[in-house]
Amino acid sequence: MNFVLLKISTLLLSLFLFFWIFSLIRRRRLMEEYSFLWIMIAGVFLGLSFFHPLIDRVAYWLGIDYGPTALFLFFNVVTVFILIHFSIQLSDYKTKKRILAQEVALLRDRVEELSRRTGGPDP
Amino acid sequence: MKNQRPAKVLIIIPAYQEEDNIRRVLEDIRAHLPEPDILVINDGSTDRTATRARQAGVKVIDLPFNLGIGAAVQTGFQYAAAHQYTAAIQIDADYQHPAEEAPRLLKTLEDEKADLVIGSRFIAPTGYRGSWLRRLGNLIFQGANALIVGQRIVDNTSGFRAYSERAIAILAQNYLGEYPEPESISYLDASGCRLVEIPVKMRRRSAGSSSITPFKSIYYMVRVLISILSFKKRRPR
Repeated sequence: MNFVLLKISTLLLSLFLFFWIFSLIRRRRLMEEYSFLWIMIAGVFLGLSFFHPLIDRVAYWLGIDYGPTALFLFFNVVTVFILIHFSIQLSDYKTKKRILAQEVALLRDRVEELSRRTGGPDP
Repeated sequence: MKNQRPAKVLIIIPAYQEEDNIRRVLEDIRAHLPEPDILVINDGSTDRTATRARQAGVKVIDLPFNLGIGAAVQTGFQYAAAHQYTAAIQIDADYQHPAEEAPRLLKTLEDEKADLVIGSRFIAPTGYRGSWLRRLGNLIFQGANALIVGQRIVDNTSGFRAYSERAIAILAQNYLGEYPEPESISYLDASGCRLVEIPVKMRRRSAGSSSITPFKSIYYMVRVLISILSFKKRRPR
């Protein structure tokens, strides 16, 4: 069987990913830190679209009969790890956000207190 | 002991969207606790909670946006620690905690040299029962905290409490999650604090709505449970 159509669609998909990510970086919507991750993923897509035998070989080692299933498994595992990574970062940002908000609130109170005491302008 | 300074008590009231309750809560407190300073932590309310509290003449600290009860109460402890309060009382802004019970919390704190006094709904028959879900949740927290605390705390979710200077310092530095009541028990115990629980009367909620709806209760229980059982790994922040 010929996988020309599959190869073309995977190629188009990875090219689309590349262009999208670069345009996001150019418009400063995405920091390089994250773009690296997504460019790697687009690269893997691109590589796999040209080396089909590799997928089949890996699938065979894993005891998976149908090559593309191994591909799905691979991307699912990668996706889960990326999501966990983002959850960790989100938790970190929420902690920092909380600390900042508390400090702002307490400092604002302090400023109001001081300006009342020194007869400054009432905020 | 170090408590030779005159007692300086702060009443901490975390408030989110409580414009219907805040005024009578403050009047209630003023009637029964004329001495202590009162601090309302306005947790990003978009209604007139802060305005009404200020009109009542109490100190209000505004969080810039809603952070949840855990962070709001912690902000109160941070304020108390920074202003050298020797004790704090936490009272909810929903008018469920009768201020007439608060002096007993404070007295127990002093008499028993406790660091945390919990006003409990369940110790003695006081007329309060709560929903079956709440009672189930309490049972689960009892079990989880019993594993760690080694002392039976009956009402783990009660937010009607008195804290010593030591507890204030610990809780100012450590954030114990979005729903801190059950976890603060095991955390303070692990920090070597003395915990006492006394029965109090509580009112039924009449205006506004609880921040914990029945639908969210199970989610809440699981979260707090995870939090309690993993608290040892937490670094102070």
